[in-house]
Amino acid sequence: MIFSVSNKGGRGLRPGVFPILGMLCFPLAGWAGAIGTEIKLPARDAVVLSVKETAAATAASAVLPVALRSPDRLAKELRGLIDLSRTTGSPRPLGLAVGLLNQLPQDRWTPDVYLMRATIHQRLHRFDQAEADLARVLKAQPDNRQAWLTRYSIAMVRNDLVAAELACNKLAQPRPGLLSASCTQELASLGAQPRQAYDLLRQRLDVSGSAGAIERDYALITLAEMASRLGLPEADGYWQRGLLQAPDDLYRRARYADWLLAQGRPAEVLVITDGFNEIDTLAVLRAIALTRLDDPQQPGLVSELDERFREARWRGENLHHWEYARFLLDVKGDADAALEMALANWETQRAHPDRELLIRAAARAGKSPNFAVELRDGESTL
Amino acid sequence: MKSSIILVILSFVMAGAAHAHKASDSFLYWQPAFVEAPGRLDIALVDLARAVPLDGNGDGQVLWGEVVDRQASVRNYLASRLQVMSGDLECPLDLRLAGITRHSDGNYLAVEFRPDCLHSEVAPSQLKYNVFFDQDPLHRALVMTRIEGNDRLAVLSPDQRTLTFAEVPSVWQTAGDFIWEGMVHLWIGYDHMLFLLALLLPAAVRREKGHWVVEDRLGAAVKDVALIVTAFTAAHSVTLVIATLGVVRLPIAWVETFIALSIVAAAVNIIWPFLGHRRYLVGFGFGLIHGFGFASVLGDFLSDTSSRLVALASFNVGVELAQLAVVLAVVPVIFLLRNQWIYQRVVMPIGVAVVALTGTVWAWERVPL
Repeated sequence: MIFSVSNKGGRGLRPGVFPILGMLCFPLAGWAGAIGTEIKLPARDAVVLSVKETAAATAASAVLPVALRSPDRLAKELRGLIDLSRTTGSPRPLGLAVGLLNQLPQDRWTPDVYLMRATIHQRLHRFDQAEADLARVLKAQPDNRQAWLTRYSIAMVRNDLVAAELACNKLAQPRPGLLSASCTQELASLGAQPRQAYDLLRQRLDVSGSAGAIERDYALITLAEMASRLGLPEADGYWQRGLLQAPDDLYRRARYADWLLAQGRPAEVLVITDGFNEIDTLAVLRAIALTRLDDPQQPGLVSELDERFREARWRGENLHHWEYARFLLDVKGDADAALEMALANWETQRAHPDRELLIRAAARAGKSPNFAVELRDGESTL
Repeated sequence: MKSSIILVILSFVMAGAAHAHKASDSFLYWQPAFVEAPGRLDIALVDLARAVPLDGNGDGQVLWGEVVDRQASVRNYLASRLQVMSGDLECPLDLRLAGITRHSDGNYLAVEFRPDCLHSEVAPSQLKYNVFFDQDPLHRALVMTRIEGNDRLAVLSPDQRTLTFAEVPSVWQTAGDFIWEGMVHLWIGYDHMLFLLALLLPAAVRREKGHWVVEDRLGAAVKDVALIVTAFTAAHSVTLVIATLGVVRLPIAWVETFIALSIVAAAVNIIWPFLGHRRYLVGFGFGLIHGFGFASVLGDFLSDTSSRLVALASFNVGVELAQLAVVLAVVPVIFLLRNQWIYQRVVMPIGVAVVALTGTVWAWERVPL
């Protein structure tokens, strides 16, 4: 068939190429060939859904009937699905969670259920909706620490320092702990004396042996972030410890990989991203490392990512702008397109990695570092 | 409090940029204009396994054979959730499991669908997609349609479940369009006008036993006209409907020829009333033929619409409205001029001659011999 050339390897269609091909072929063919990826007819005994995938599908469908017995039960199941999404890096459980939510009449929702929905929105980067749900939770339960912490996280991602400080102050009540120390020093580190803030949190962590493991872990990762921003070699140790404590945590793995890339250590990136190709962020960072090392595995991973981003662009709403911009900038070397994506990312996310990416993309595209933000937001500095 | 602690980690982690895999998508490829080419829906097996249990032997994995064994359930599941519409009518779908295809996140089941829209003689205009939305509102259908060689990408979601290929006008729009078409057709299709004129002219001055007789009573003239127009309308409406619905089809060239001859006959009948004085019968008889003429014009327009009955009725209404306008314009004039010498001696004979001659020429041109 005429279109099989573009279908080679079952990689789908390039939207940019196809209209042209289609127009060329239409008058010649009269009837245009089949469209879409290549279809294969497997043998009867060929495995088409692996054990892992089948387990994921059946586990999620088992959740449905029990979840609706009570709002408490629902909140618990939602938490499970959010956690599953976090550890597997798959957004599918979030979709199932939204499906579950829709089945419980809204007049039966408890603050806990709203908190879960806020978390789902947050993960999907629907920050306004997340904020709206958090406001509802905090109205009913003004001391809900989890809601304040979520609000703090969102405020930091959006670079809304006023809201972040307010939330951080709430976390210091009824008495300041390691958690509030972490957010306080993190905020301070964005001010005039970042080194002092880092030292204070470091000392605080050293003497807080009685704090819970989770609060200590939080402080550790905050320190890793602060040390990375300050360009301190200690960052390495913090990231390594953090990763050792929670090997399933994809966020810190990605942050560490990105730090290693910035340090010019791509070989180590290959080690910590090995086996994580399903995760966009880690796959992109791995592709960057492979590119820098001129590794023969590079073309394979790059074409896989090409296909993934092509599908994501088609879908539109869930395109990971940060990852795609990094891919364009550091793998494809297309600075203009990368800048466009970095700007799109900046629309919703303004944390440190987002800012760093925007500055780099703008510089590579030959723009002044401030151009992009001035253009969009009328701000004078990044 | 315990739950808060668990979540402390969650929200911290989520603030960052760790995304992965991808959300649930299906892929739909279709060329709606090509009846020969089936549409194709690729659904992720991992999504399908949630809706239709696929692991028949319970060994924790799914083999192709197990999918094939479950194809009735799969088709059943999809049949109620994927609809192809032709206007307001649903086209029955023939679903077939075509095999396995790969997208970026794994194996997908490729299902071919063939809509049977032939009953309405109209191309499919809409696709309604409802697969997986109940279990996963973040599910999306990524659609590629090829229309006239151009590929168009679209996304269907719970907020946008329908894809429209051809704009389907509203019923009122269709009605308005077809009323106008009906009116225009009567006015620019001179043959119907001339025939009507030939029937109307004797309403004021008619020929009886070799003499011109002037009708003095307005009431009688109006009654005469109303009767003729009603008979003509009733007749051509009947044949318009049965021809449009395909109950009876006549060769159009002969219909056109006969319409031309009907004009000649109606004109000659003014001078020599060989068809009798009950002109409403003449109107009715020839009206039957004229209806087939209207139907052939309407058929050309109908291929673009899905609301056939509305179109048919509106077209007819348009024809009647145009007819009424002609009657209202002509009858007062001939009634006012009826006593004038020039009308009786010049306008009538010349008018009759011109109408008869025109009809003859048309008949000659149209006869398919």
